[in-house]
Amino acid sequence: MNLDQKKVVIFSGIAVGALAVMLTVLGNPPNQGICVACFIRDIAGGLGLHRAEAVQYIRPEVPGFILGSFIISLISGEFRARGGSAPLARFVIGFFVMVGALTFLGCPLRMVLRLAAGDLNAIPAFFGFSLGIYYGLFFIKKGYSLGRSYKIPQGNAYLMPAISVFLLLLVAFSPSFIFFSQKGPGSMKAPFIASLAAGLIVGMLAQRSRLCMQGGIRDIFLLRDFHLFSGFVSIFITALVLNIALGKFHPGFANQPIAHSMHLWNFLGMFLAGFGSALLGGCPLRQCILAGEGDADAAVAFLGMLVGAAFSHNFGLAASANGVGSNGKVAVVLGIALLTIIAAFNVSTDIFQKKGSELSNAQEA
Amino acid sequence: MEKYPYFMITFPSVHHALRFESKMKETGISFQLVPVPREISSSCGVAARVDFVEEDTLVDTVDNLKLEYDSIYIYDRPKEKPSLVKRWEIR
Repeated sequence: MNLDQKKVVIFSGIAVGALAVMLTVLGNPPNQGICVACFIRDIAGGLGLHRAEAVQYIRPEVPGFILGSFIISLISGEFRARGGSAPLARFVIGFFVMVGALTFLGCPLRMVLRLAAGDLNAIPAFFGFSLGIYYGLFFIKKGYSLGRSYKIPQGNAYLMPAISVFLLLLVAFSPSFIFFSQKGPGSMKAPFIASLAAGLIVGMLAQRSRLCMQGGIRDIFLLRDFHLFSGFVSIFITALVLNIALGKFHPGFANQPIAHSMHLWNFLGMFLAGFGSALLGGCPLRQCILAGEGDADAAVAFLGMLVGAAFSHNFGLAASANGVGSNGKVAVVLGIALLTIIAAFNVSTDIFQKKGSELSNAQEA
Repeated sequence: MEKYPYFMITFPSVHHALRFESKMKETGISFQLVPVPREISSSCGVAARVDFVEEDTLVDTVDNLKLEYDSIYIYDRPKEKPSLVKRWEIR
């Protein structure tokens, strides 16, 4: 691992941590300067896909991530259309990653940001997330794969960036058919330009560094390698230092902003999100970045998350500061069971027939 | 220290990388699974760094074991961009 590469990931982590805290100063919800899950949920609300009035705003950060990745990958030559790796399975997995994240109230990135603000409820979530990835790796080691993606006509790669531009236009022109929260987290927002700029910068840096919350933990389990995890750590340290400096560091379990203290469900929610992220090969942020690079499968996972967010609120699955309701508990358990089935069904048969194929190789020889 | 030249093989998914690991262990070609270097684009985060052998030997071994990969690159010397040896062709 060369030094240059290490620097990029650490620098990206510092920038992401700093931008996240800056966005809360500029008006984003507390401990939620950047949260991919929450923001996708807010977008679902802004589009009217769910009617939870407190969380409706087409957050410019998310189209920013996608467009940042799009722009930088165009420049670096990594922008290429690809797809065809089990899109429907990815949609369903993305759906449940969102259900899990909204049980905890945050994506893996917000989990780190919450920890950095002293929200100790994120600790059981961190263990759940790590264990979920470990559980996913169990299937990957057994032969789970959604299959390879293939080159598809280049025009496909422009769809997700185009959708992102459309979302930005919706916020900019605010037609009467979109929704804006008047109160609650959805009403707390940094100025449009600041949100978009931060999103673009994070998108570019994450594309260049491959920053991924899931990848960091996966690489520790799988390769004993801490490279990607160092990005994770530098986000934490930067946000921690800034939070302390700005008086936003309040250690404890009680009265944390947009959080609850049902430890088991924080744990299980992020277990589901970690498991799903491992099956997808990337955390929610990474899915946005890949979608911007022209990965149609990641774009489908993104749409799965968007729909998952809408269902979470329509069916009363998502948690609130009051905790997780019974619908949410059922959904998380069901999600873990369903993803287990999906994982098991995608264990490729050639592993089961390992001995047989070696035999046939010998016969061929 | 890194010994040049060496190969870097990228994979369509982590599973394919692990499959590569389990099958290649028996061949005597030495390699290590590593995170994908930044200068290479890949859909999955895990790559294999393979110590130098003849190019044909590596490609033939991988093909004979029916191992799927994305691309095979070679790093010739320090601070130089890797060059593409072979890209997986759909068959």
